[in-house]
Amino acid sequence: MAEDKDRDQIFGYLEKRFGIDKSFFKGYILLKRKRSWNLLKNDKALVSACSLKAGKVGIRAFRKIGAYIKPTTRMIQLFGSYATKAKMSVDITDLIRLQRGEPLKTDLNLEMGYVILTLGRGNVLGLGFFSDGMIRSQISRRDLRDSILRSPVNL
Amino acid sequence: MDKSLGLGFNDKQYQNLVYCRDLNSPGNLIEYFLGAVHPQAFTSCLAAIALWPKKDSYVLDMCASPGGKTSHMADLMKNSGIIVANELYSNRRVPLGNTLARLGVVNTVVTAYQAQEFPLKHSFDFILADVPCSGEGRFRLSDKTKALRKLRKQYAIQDLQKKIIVRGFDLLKEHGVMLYSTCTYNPDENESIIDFLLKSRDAEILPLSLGPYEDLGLLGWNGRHYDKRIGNTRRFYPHRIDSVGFFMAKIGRR
Repeated sequence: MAEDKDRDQIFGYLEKRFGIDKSFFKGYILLKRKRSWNLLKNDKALVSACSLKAGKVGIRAFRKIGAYIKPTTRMIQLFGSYATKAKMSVDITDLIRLQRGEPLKTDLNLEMGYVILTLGRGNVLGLGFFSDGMIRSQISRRDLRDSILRSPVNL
Repeated sequence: MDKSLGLGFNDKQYQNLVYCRDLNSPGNLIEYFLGAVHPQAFTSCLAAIALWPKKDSYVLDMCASPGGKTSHMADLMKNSGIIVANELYSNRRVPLGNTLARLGVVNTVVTAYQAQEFPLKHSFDFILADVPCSGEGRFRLSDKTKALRKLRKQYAIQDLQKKIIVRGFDLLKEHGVMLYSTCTYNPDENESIIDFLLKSRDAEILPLSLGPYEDLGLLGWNGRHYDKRIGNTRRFYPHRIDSVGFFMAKIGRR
């Protein structure tokens, strides 16, 4: 299990950067694995499950990348709708450009760092990285591939 | 897409299902990437519905990959409690992990035991035993299944199914519920396995009601007579339900 210091650092970062209240994560435990953390729902049955040889628990939620702690795409899809800041709405044309690796110009008044990308009525896609007035997609091109972007979108 | 399923099912229990006939490449939908949908055969969806694990319960999915039924159970449990998603084969744990992550399932612990040798010191409220089978119910979908069926015959699949169902039953808490399911018609992999369980354990077969397209389990086959309680099991035939053929038995522990 991750130490309280890790919890404070990670959930404190989510609160500071995205406005996602720390209290959302009260019912979860954070498990540290080398340079990443998994998030798992806390439950009394875990006492019993602890004695199992587990290969994977919950979802991989955060990774340490340089000086940054990066929430994973799946983590941010799950909790990003609670964010109150550092969010940016894109349309499908912007998204195609981002996934081609092109940066997108924006006038967001933010410090350098991660930004939540949304599509349509607030559907959380994943993260972009904001620096020097530009956003670059952090969403894997294997997950959000061309064939998906070519499909009709009704969001 | 037809929200009412187009099958006469308007019951609350089907509210999260959307019936899509002839939907090509659902994996290319943006909703798929967003984790809002997961394509499954209709009869596969019925397995989680038949078991319907309660919120905050301790659940075991004995043969979990590729994770559609595990995720459906997590959805029915509102991502609460704990699901132990067991899958022996490492190459099958990859799609399992991907499905769980994509659908935002945060209440699972993935293990890699042989289902028939899952550690007995644990006891569960609900167990899904969607066992390896000859896959006859998928013949309309793929010719590959025929080859698979031949291959699996060599490994005495019925012996494995018997071991898994007995181990699953032994892992149930008192008043716990297990669903045994296959995607095959072969009575030797279905009713015969349930009959074996009834002979070897004090199990009960709970009633199942999943709509107008179900058929009752067989009470005899090839001159053999099964326990009458097996009439509570259900068969689903492709020509009746327009989906993968399936068999289900809901088993209770007194």
